[in-house]
Amino acid sequence: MRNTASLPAIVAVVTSLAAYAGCEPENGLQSRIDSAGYNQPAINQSLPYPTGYNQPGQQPNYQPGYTSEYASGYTSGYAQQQVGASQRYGQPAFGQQAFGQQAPGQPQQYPQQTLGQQPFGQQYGPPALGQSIPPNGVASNPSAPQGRFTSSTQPSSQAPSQALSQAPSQLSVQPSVTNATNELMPQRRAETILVGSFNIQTFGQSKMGDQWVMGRLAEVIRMFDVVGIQEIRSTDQTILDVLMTYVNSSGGRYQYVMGPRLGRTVSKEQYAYIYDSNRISTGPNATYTLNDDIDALHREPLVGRFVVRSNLTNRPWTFSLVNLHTDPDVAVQEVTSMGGIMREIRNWEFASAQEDDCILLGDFNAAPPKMGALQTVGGVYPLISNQPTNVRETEIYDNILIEPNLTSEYTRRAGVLSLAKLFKLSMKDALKLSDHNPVWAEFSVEENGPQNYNPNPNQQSAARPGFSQR
Amino acid sequence: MAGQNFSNASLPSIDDLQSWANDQELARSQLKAIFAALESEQEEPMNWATEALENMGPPPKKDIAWLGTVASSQAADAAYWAVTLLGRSDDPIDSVQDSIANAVLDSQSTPAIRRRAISALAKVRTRSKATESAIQSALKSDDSQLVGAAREILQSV
Repeated sequence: MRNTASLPAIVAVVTSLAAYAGCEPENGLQSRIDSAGYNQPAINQSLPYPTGYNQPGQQPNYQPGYTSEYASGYTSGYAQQQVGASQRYGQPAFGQQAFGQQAPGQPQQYPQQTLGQQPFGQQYGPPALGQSIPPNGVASNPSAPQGRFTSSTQPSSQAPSQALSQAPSQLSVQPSVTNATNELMPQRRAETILVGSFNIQTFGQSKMGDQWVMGRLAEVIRMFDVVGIQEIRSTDQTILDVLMTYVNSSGGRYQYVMGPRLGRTVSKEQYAYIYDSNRISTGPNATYTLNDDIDALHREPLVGRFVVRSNLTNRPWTFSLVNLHTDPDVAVQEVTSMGGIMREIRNWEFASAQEDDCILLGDFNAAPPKMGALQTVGGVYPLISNQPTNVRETEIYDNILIEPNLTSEYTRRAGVLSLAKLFKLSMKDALKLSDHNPVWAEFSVEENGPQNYNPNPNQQSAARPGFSQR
Repeated sequence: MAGQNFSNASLPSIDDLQSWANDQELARSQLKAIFAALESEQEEPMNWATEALENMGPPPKKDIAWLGTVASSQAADAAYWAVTLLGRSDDPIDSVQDSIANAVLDSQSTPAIRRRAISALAKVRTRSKATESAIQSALKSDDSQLVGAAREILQSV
């Protein structure tokens, strides 16, 4: 058993990276590779410690409204509680808003459109009001880049690897998604952002060499504006470049940022975020990996900062994603430890980037009833509470957690995308893709915050999040 | 010590490993073959073996003695998974407690192995001298999590 009492102790150093080694950070940040092989943006060494936020080990001090909800509203029976935040999207009970289960009379904010019906009006810019985004990511676009690499994370000077040589120059995989997707999750639309989390079980050489698998994984990714990926297991660091050739095979502009290889055995994993660069940009100091001096977590989370690209608003939504894959043998301990860390991340993100929307996502290997600390300490609440997320449909492993008062951009639609139903597959064939189904949640493109977040100005600083011996 | 074969099992195919990773019962019946893949010098068998072990659940009773021998091996990943599986066991593991204790005491063990081993020792009903020594060693460790786990064992008595 772990001694979790000391885990929320604070560390001063955040291990960071803007994009993986060999990749040019999109924001032009110069990175270096530290002794552990991690990229560290130079900017992180000079990030000022802001004043006015929580100190290590101190309880967060939020404004009264938040504290009230925090203390009395969600510590028990979270699925039955009403959210007290602004209700831009109707009034369903929080935690019960699986897609298709909206409360009667809830206003339909945006028109639903058929897959592929309304391609982008702008070839590389954000979509216009009322336009849907076709499943291949963009409309057919003769001037779209056709090369294998369209990502800014392309390692420009890197020689093609064995992995790249496996990628077909003319993809033979045909789109197989049918209109049945409407029943499983919303289509991407100009007014909303679909955030996903997908554990691609042991994503390595064998899947990379299977066109059927890669084609379907690409189709899944194209259903999201940004998706957090878990379980990339490959020493070949071009594996996501290969995946991008499939994802962008019809002219899309998906890009990725990937974290370092993590783990306690030779078999290591990486997190990544894949995002549609037509709709999402990476924020300043785009990603960082939490420092974990005491090895409290098997795979310390990767934080990514994102900004919506939209011409529908002059206040595009900004948000931070926290990508986590717990160790199944100690999942409850790790989830409990993450409660304090999530609070620190939220304080840090607000202090360093004025970011109030911190979304925790990933494979928790734990169902919501075991996420008590994430709620009571971390202040984030699971959006998936009653749908199994594994392909066998027996367990809730994967989730997306938000602080609902602050992340009022949430449209109250979240759910699980069944791979078997999406592609009309047997369970055996669906398991060739992954043992996890992706989970999703929908958000507005317009920023509502951060007016709700008001840390105590009398406190000295927010601490950089992480685990240390102190 | 990659390439060490604990069981003389032949290296399974990726398809087999993928099937075992998605079927706990199948995996339990193929434990030695999975360990053979774990020690493969090839990346994919090793990764899928890891996935199968992560998903496996408790080990079969018949393999507990064999896992005890693997736990005291110098192959780090194999030792890590052996003590992890013994810690998941629903069956008594007293008979292999000395091997687990040695994994705590061995200076070559990684911190991750020691933590998993001390967690496994929490399941021992009648402690041997080696187990007592391992617990005392853990209490003096610089690793706060190892210390915490050792304290929990003592408090659970």
